[in-house]
Amino acid sequence: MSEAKSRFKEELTSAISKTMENMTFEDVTFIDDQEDVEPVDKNKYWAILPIEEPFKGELVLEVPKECGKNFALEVFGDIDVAPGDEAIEDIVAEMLNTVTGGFLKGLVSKDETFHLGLPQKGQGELPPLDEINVSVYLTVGEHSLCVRYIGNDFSE
Amino acid sequence: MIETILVADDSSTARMIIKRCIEIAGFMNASFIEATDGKEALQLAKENKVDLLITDLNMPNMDGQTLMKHVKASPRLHDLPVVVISSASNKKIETELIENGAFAVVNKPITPASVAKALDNLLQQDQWG
Repeated sequence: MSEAKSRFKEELTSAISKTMENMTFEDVTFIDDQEDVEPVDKNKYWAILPIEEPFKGELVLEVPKECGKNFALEVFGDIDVAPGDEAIEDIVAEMLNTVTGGFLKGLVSKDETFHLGLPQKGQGELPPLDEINVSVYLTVGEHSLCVRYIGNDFSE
Repeated sequence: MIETILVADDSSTARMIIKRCIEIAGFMNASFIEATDGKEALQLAKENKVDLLITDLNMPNMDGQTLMKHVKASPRLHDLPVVVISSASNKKIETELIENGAFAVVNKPITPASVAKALDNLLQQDQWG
């Protein structure tokens, strides 16, 4: 792995960890060996957030539905009615927004501007994605999550 | 006194977290008005007596920077303090936001402590004393 790609992944991992701990009070475990990863199936919530500046790309967060429901309970606290799909999709998108901001803040120099697009969110199968450049796999409790980056190729 | 706070963010989750952080920070009696984008926030700011505007940067229809420009250009709203809450900011962006009239910039993930710091600083200003 190139040095640039390695730093990219390091900053992304750090931002995921801080976001999960702050928003859901959950500890996360990152999985290095991709072969140990059980893919997030179609029964999931997802969010896609475009990065407009200083480079073009997209970050994608996939969360199994059961895990999304647990996140919602942590975020909303004691409420009488369980949050619906729309609310959970919004939580997943807000998580990705926070991850992306933290990640860019760590990656980009202090003198450089960065700018994000508006998130796309949903459930079930993801829309078709371009070639995935970086994948970070993690577990929260018994659930596997995935954050992917689509954009610059850091291998060169 | 901060009695009425206008919270502008397209994410209902973010608005809920902001409100909860403000309450935990000690502003239990504040009432909230919510807007899902800058355009709606501007309209609500004109129609209501608002003591503080808390806005996200990245919103559809009208973003937080444009909203702040409109607020600062309005004779009636010019003195309305604006706190920007954003995931997408660093030192350069924060400096630009402060130069454009933001009272404070709070980075996501926000915490009751980071909100309390911004609001306590605001209360220490002469106009709130």
